[in-house]
Amino acid sequence: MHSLIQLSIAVLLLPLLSFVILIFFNKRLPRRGDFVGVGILGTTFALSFYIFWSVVVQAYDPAFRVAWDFTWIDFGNVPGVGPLEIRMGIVIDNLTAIMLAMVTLISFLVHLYSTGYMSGDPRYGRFFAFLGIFTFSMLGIVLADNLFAIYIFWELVGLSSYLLIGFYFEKDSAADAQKKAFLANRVGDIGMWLGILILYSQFHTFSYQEIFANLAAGKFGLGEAWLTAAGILLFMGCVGKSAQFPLHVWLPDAMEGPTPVSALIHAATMVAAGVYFVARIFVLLTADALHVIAFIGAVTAFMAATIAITQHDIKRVLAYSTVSQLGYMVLGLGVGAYSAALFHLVTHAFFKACLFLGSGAIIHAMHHEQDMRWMGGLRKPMPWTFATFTLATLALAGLPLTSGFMSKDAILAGAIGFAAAEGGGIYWIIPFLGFFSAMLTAFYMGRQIWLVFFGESRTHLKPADPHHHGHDAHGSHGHDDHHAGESHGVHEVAWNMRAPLVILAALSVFAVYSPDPLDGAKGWFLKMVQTPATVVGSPGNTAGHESSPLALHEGRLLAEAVPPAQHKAESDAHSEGVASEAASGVHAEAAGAAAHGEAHGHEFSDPRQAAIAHEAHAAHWPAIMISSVMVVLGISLAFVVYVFRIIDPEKTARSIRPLYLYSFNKWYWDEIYDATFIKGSVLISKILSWFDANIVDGIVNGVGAMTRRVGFATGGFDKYVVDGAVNFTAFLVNTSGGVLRKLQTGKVQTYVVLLLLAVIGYFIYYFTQLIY
Amino acid sequence: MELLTNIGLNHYLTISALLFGFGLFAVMTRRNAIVILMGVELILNAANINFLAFSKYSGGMEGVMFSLFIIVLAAAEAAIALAIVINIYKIFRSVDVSSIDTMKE
Amino acid sequence: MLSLIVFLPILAGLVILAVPSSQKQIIRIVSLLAAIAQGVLAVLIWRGYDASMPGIIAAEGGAPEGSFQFIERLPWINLDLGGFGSLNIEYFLGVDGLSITMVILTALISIIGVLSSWPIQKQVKGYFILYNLLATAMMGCFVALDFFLFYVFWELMLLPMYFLIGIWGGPNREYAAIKFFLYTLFGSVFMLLVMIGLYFSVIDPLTGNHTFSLVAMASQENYIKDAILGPESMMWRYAAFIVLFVGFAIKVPMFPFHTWLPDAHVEAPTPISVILAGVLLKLGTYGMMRINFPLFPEVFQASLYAIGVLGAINIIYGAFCALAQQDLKKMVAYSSISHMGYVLLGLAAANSEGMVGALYQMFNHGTITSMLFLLVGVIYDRAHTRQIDKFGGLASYMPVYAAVVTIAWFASLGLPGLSGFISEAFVFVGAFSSETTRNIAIVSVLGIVFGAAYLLWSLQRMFLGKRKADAAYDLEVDADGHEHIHFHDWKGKLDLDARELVMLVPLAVIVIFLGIYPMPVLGMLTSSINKLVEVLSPVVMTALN
Repeated sequence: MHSLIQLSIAVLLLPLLSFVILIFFNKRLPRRGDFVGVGILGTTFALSFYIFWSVVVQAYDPAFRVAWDFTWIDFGNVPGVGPLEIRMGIVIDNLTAIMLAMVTLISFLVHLYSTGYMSGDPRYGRFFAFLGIFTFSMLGIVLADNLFAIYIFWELVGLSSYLLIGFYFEKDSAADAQKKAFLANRVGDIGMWLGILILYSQFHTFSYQEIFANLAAGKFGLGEAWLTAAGILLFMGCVGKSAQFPLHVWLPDAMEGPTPVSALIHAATMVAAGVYFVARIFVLLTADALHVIAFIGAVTAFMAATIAITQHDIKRVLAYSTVSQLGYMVLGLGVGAYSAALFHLVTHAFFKACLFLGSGAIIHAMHHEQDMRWMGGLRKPMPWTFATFTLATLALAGLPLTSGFMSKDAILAGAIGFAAAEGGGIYWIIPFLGFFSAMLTAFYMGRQIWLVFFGESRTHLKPADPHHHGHDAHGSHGHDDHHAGESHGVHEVAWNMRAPLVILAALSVFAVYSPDPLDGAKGWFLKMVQTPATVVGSPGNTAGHESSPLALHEGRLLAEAVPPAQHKAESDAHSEGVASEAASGVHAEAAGAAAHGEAHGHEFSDPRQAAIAHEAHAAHWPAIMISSVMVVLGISLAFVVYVFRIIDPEKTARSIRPLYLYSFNKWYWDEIYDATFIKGSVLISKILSWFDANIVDGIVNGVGAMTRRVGFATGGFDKYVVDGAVNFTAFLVNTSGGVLRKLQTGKVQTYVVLLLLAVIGYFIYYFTQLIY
Repeated sequence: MELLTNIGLNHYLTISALLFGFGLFAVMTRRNAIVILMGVELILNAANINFLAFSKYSGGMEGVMFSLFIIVLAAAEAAIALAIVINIYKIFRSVDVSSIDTMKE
Repeated sequence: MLSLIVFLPILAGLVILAVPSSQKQIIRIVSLLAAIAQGVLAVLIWRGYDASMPGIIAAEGGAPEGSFQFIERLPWINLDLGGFGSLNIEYFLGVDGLSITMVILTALISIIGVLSSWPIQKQVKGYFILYNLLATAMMGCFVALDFFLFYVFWELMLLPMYFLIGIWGGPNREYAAIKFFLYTLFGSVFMLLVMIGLYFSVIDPLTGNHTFSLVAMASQENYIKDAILGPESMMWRYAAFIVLFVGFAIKVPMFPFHTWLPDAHVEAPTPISVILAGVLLKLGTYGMMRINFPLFPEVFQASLYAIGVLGAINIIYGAFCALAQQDLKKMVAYSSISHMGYVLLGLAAANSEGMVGALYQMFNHGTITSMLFLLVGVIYDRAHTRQIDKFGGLASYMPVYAAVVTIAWFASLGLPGLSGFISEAFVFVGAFSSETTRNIAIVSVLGIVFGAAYLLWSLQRMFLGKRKADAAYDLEVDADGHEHIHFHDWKGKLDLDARELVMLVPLAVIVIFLGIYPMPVLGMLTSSINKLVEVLSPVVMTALN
């Protein structure tokens, strides 16, 4: 076993150990055992960082990959299939190593932060236990080498999310939110599960590698439509987990959970798992599936951004911004900007975790006030929070010199390239929505910064509302002066909450990822995480796109420009050196693709990827230009509205009231779902239950009653006919017996005399016979 | 004397027949249950004499065995019958067989 | 060995017969010891079981030895029927992968059942005698390899069950008991006819006589060509298959024969619900796998789609009905119907993945549903009501109970890491891999969502939020400001007490362990299932023709 594998197993199991210790013993440990959680996660991060260092920094090989697996279930010799085993295993490549380091770092920081934020909570110890099982499940998703394992951990993160959203389960809103989150995820999961079933039913394996190899060898027997369906169904898992339209409704409600949970699970890691999963299965997505993914991502990014503009709750704005950013990542994957999407995943994880933890610090300092309308002027009492929050906001808005700028720009460039390569038309909607959402993002984040940190404190403006939802979040916190709430009561948070903010903000600076603030492609991330070659045929060169021959041509000419993956895989289609190419290919998948390409000659589909990459490369500078303009536009608009008050937001909202309400009520998705699916299900269940109790059981009882009727009828027959015959026989016997019994005197002597007479009679008869 | 010295099978059978006739007569005519019982005993003994006589003149021992059985059986029968009679007497205060007819109806 | 494990409870019953009925504790302890001894025997059988021997049909040459294990075979009843030939009934026991799984489950649930019978105060002696009779009958059904013997045990089960529901049940117990009895009897009467028909159609290859041996019946070459159920009278074979299927489907219970189950569960005392859901329902599907399908493989192959559809109806219909229930126990009862639908779906897949999933689901449903019913019993003991709306916020006041409920509920909704997931997953894998049932599998997947819906909704209404105004318990606030609750006439511990933990914790541990590492159970049954799939496969039937 490779030493990195051993390390990664330790990384995987340590958080589980934390969970087990804390769930059983938290009440017996000093400080409710928070040091166990923090300590174990610190260790886990150290190990993960070592893995990251060895893989990404030392090896510095885009094709790095170690794997290990074991037999989990042995089916024996299955008729019709042969020996069948279900294997579980771990795979470590560059992406895994980066994700490991990211997840454990954020988890560690959130653990640390929670020692401050959650202190005094009656279920303090349990909180760390739940964080432990979440981290375990999340690392499982990252490390899994097969679809079955990822599905298992997929649902386990769903469980931990369920437990943590409902951490304050006394609140009905929290209990509702946790149920909603789990069920929305389940809906996505059944799609994902069906996708897994489609692949398993063809290949009898769950392993990524084997599935990809089989696909590349053209062994998929159900046809192109099923393969596209499999891709879209698998993507449904991502729709649920990453809160994409139309299953996005659970994520904003999930903010009922404690704020560190929102940072860790519902912003940085778990919701990004959907994107990670799509990246894992990226090579089997057909072009049609990718189009669906791109459109879903674009719609999500746009829709969530429009909603975020009008929300008052500080966490809800961030939640919708998370949905919107996840939409970007999905969009990025859909348009084929694989590396860019994953790059954005990582940068977003850091700055969004920073934003959430910052908002947590604000909420903590404001005694659980979450409504931005009653904040303001926090810049002075909370300088650290202000600085880090602002830096992260700039990264989210995508201003140059930040990490978010590089990754978002790469996605948008990919979107332009995609639209160009696909022949324009309707595909231009995708980059358009992307850029427009970028402007909206800048606008609502500018609004948030201004409302929270600038101006004067508006605490006193808050109407006295005893039922305000922030009120009873914590039972033990003193909030006697809640309504008095002067801003001089607000202080900067302690070091254990400040340190994570600083670290996360530092990771939002461009220099961490690339030496050139304007070009992420020069950095290590985009070098180490490169688009794998597809293993399924693309319709790009068969469906008659006008640009296809050109794209193919350019793809070849510009082989220098495209990432090595495409280059290698493409050249494989024409060269014999399969083995050597495979060795230097980006992923082993590329080798599979190469085999496929060799088997099918020119059907091999890389030209489409190559064309998009080429166009994206060309679109790099235009994208930077447009997005910078958009961001500046958005921020200026926020300044115009909220700082200079040239446009009065209230008045504007009134003048476009329907639009405002549409945004404020989140496009009415909750209401629509409630009226259709939820009410519908309850109605169906009531109808079926009635049907069961009255019709099905009615038939049973009816049969019972009928049997009784029949019983009565046969009883009558029995009484009058059958029994009548019996009684008649008895009557006959009785009368004849009455005659005969006269003979029966009961006296022995009579019988003896009769006997004697009989004997004598016999003798007389005998002798007369003898005589004659 | 000849009659006394030359006793043959016929003599035994004659005695036996007579005994049987007396017994049968007693059983048929008397009403006293005890007398009827005595008649039955006579009939049994008539049979005994027949068995012994045939045994003596045919040479086998089977007849002797049968008669032994019959003697035992007669004793048992007498004991049980007398017990029944005593019980009947207790209930009906009579041993007249014609008056004991409650099972008739 | 098998005779001992079957008849141990009845021996305990005889011992109890000799104990005066005032000695309740002794009676309980005797029953518990018998159940534990049965458990020990089950473990011994499990340890001694050779997983490589397939079972299902006889080994090469027609002898059950070498295929089945722990065989006990004696002539039992030999009647000369003159012109009808002779009736040879054997006392024939043995286990293979199908039965050993169920034997272990039965032994486990029997122990749990005795423990949960502890609080019963009414006519303890009679109760435990009937209970032990039931335990013997259940175990006998799973190890009998002679159809006649199976039938005897099958019918023997009815009687104690009838009285246990009818005497120790809830307010409407007589109705539920008679419904259960008539339903099941209805199924088994026809089974008797089929059994006799089979007897005259099958020849034991070793003796040349007619036989009731299920081992001989499972091999199609042992059928007489022109017999009533021989290979050429297809009409009668279809009729026999359907009749047997209905007989077993009633026990499963399968829509539309399921309505006895909610009534029986609602009225039955907790331990009987546990036995009913934990073991008895499995007899239906076990009967299908042991008798119904291998005896008529070609009819089975022809009815795969119908069975799959019925399974899907069970899954979704049961889930919807559960969603609408107000009575917690009724909800759990409908969840049983839903979960047994997965078994039917797995069987309809007719491949190894599906059938392994189905058999494993039978085992897991036994453990998980036992937990569910025990947990319902816990709250019913305290509150004397099971109306979901009469609770609220229990998680704050009964944390251990809430934790165990969470484990059980999530196991029931098929959360990965818990055993129910693996079985459901493989049911779907199998059903989807089979082209016949692929569409059914796609529809049935909805059951996963609705299963989660009713379980989470009930969990929320009972355990989360705060106490409701009309709750079945009172709220008190002590001097420190801590809230406590108490139930009106409950003297015991508020949260789970030691006896309840002894029942629930081992089940929870089993559920978690088998969810992480299922091989201890799957290892025993895969070779049998592979054999069964082979026996059922159409290829064998063409060889017959």
